[in-house]
Amino acid sequence: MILLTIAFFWLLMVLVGVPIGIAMIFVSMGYFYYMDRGIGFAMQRMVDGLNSFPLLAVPLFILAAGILNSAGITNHLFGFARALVGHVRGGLGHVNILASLFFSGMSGSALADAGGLGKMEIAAMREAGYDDEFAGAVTASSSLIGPLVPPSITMVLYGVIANVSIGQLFLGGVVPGLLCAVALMIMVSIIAARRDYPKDERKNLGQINTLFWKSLPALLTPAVIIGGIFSGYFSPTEAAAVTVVYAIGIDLVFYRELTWRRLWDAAYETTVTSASIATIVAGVSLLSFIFAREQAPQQIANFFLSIADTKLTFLIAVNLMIFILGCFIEALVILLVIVPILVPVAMGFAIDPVHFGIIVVLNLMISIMTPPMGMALFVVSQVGNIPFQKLAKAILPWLLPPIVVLILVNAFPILSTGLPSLMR
Amino acid sequence: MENTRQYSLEGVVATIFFLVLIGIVMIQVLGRTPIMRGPVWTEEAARWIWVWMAFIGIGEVERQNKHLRMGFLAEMLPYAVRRAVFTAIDLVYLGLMGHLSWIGYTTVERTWSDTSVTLPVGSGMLYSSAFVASFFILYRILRRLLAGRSGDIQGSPVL
Repeated sequence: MILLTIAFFWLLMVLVGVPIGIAMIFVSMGYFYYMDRGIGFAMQRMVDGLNSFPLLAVPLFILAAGILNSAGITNHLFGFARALVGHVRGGLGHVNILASLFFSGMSGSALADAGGLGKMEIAAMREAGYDDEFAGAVTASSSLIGPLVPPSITMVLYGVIANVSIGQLFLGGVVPGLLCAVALMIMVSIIAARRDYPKDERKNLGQINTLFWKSLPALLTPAVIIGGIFSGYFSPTEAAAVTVVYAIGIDLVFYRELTWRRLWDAAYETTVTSASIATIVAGVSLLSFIFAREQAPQQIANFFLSIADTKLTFLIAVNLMIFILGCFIEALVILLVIVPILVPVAMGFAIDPVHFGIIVVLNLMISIMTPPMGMALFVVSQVGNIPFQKLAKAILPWLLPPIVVLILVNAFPILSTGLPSLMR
Repeated sequence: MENTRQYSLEGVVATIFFLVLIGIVMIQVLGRTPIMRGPVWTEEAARWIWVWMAFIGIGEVERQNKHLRMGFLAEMLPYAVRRAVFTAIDLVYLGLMGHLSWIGYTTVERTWSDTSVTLPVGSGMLYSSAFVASFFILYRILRRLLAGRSGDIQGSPVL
């Protein structure tokens, strides 16, 4: 009953528009006042919730993405992707997806992809005669590749809350990420053939070669991250710091577009975004204490055991729950509040935590493109100047490719656990 | 018109913490190379600075009104109603932060003499981040209330 009351008041506050993290602190403090215990340790719990070294990877990866966008490295990646696949029918649709795949190797954020690359991609597609709905829908859907291919902010957070190796999660996301790219490209091919979308002139090998060498330093970023982590040289947090230094370094040596002012602004903006995430993490630390006191994990486990008695039925129930919640609740909240309760239940069903993590991350990324609360839709609508209602309708068929990949990842755990198991 | 200013004191301080943090993590990485002897304090220092950066940064989040929120229902309300609701919420928030600030002070007092594992300061230094930050947050809520801007809805996407 207490848990339901907390959930009710928290949801009410969030729906009214109280910031999500602040609403968590409000309801937690309400609980402490009501129970008349635990108040004296509230601040300490919030600080302790943030006092985690792996969590540091979050601001560092956000900054890396910010630097890549500020330094114009995205332009080179887009140019290279265009030279490779621009000549195919509906070429810019394919370019959009391939550029997101390249960008995802450096940025762990779907919204950095949608906001950074998206603006450029939509402008280019519009100029080439593509309709806004198609351009916006491809941009929003391709951004989901970002958090699947390493590095990934979402996976860092999952790794922290589920106590799972972040390096293993990074590797586990590679195949599903590539599958999403392929599935989206198939979708582009089908639509482009039907609507007779334009294609670029084929670039010669010399031009491709030039663009490849220009992009190579940026394309090597995932090798630095994964290589560093799996050679045992870096922890994921250290890899994130190295990525920041690497992004600055390759700009200094190759691109020379980053200024001190842009670097400072990227750091400043990252600080604000990180503090916003930190508020939620602090709120979650308070809630976690209450959940533990009220035995929420046991209650949730009992609920799932009553509706699901096998691994498969449990996964179906979890996927449906995350998908439905994802339409209305921000992905970060689902990840930080609901997933920690589900992880022990998944372990109870003998589901590999890496496999479960990839399923959760993929499902959450689908949720950022589902109306009415899809954050990627808001960002694309804003940067592409496309009315939200138009985009919300246009995105619906684009949900199909990642959902097919999600089903495949659920059905064949090897897709997410195969690569990590090779490195164990 | 505080939002016309691009930077704020708390934003600048938090960003400087962030840059120092990157430097410390890099020292930790370089500490494993033959050019440097690996220092033991880097991980704890990086964690503490992150906590300071995060808490001080919340003041700037308040100033920019960039907390993650779902404002779509609130946006449907007439502005006057919304402003009244959010003024009430801000008043509760102000009271709660005031109490949390006091709790922060008692926490610092309680933990001041607890020793840190690798740093030459007490754990109270870590917990004082929340205590100091609470003043910045209180100031920003007060400014918002006094300027009558409690009904302004924004929010920033994250993942």
